[in-house]
Amino acid sequence: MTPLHTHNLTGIRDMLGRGEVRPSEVLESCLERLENTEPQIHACLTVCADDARAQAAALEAEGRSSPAKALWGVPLTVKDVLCTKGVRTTAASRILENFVPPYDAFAVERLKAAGAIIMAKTNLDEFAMGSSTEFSAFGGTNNPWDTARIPGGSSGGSAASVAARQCFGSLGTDTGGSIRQPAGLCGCVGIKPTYGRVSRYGAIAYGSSFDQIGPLARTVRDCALLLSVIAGYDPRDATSCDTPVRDYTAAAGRVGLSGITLGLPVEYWGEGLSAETEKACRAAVNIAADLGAKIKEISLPSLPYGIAAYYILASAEASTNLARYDGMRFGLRVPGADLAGTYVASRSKGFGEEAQRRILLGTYALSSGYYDAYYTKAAKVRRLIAEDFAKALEQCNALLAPVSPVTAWKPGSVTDPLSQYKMDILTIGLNLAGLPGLALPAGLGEDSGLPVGLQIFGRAFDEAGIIGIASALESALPGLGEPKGLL
Amino acid sequence: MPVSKEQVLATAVLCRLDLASDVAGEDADKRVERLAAQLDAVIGYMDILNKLDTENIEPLYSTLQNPAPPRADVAEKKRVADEILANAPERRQDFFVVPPVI
Repeated sequence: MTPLHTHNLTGIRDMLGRGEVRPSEVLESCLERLENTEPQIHACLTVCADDARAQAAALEAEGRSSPAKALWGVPLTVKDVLCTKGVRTTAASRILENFVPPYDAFAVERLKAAGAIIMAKTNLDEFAMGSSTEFSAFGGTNNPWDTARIPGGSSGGSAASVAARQCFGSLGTDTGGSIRQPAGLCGCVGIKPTYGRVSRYGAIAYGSSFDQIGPLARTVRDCALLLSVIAGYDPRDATSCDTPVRDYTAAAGRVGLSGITLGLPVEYWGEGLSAETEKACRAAVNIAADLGAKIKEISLPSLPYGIAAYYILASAEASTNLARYDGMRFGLRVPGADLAGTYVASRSKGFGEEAQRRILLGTYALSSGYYDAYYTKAAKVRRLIAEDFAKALEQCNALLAPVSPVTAWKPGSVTDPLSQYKMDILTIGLNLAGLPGLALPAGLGEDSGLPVGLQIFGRAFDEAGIIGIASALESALPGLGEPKGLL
Repeated sequence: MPVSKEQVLATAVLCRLDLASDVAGEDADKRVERLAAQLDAVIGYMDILNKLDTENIEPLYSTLQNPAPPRADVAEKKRVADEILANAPERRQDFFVVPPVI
């Protein structure tokens, strides 16, 4: 019999729904898999085995409901930047090492209400600031395709846990590519919804005008199902939108791409891409054309300024958001000589170096004399980039781009901050524009044998559109199979 | 614009960070110099924004298109003090204990 943890989310959900397997059997299979793989990948910061077992037992006792709950008995993991009631939530930072939230994030509430079982909290770059998960205060995560390599980031633990079959799906957050990039580097599907589509209530804030919660899973349909559970209006997040939620799982049934125009922005397909990345992504574009899509080359002329604009704006927002960590009401307190000394000591010991760098950068950009030159200027460039996307998406149903210039790299191989920031060149434009995007495995790179991801960018609130396109492509692309890096 | 070590130290004061404190085996002065050089490189790169003409362009601070409707102004009791104080570094009765403010 196929081990239960190797099924995809929709498959196991249906088996649970038909009564062929019990929630506790599925959970035990996942926990065993987690125990076997965790020493190799370190995807999780907290494993909630006891809580998860109690939840599985409770679901079994209450029985399958009618109408059926969308995720009844399905084990999932959640990035440790989303608050979970009674379960430690660290943001992979020393400053929150012992923080136990008294409430669930909106998205976590939704998962639980749908009958899902949260089995673990996954690793990330501290406060979601990074692209490799190397900046976790509790040690990095390894890529299930090659455990000597990074899984991407910042939702690297979520992507690794999904790819390693520890769970059937996970939630991540995407501020500058933090769902799509690790999904791409680990061979998963990930969706960054439109800004405002999923409530950020209970998400530990990094860049509040960019942060968005979204799903990672092994198929497009699985991601669509998770998105349909977590999307929707929430009065507790002032940026949550009451735009109607579409039927994303129905959208995942799309076959063929006739009548669809897909744009290839030249800025995403130029120099800087590794040969294997370009080859795998171009092959996927050819498949889209074979499926009936019209392929159109377009330009987003302001996009090359995206890295500079993003790192000013996101760091400015981060410096403001992280001002709350002062050692007074929650989080690490390191006593100093006086009140100000306690603030300084707590923050200097509690924040890791990348968080400190971004606080410094943001504070500098917001400080008197530099505000207009950097912060206001970056916000103006943001408008130009958003307008570029809007114009392109008037002519095209969606845009295609590689997820990352290269496949997963080795830890410590990209060390200076500016080079690290430039690795986000292919993902951050979408966050500046606030639009939805999906990362889909395009294939394995012919040189490295590691996953290459393709992004599909859509119009605001057209998650259903990009899910449909991704679904049609997924069924025509060669599958990646199971990760080859695990014992 | 180049960023000097002195500017970085002045910025650290504004955001309540002591750059010399978390040395982890590294010489404190060297750490400050290293961080200053990194910030100088990053800020120096940001200057490419000046190549774009943004005269008469309105800044875009949020992409939110459909502002959420305001909530009714109704008081609600969401959490008890014990829950909120559970994460306090130091607590006495129903109060947070903090260093003297004045």
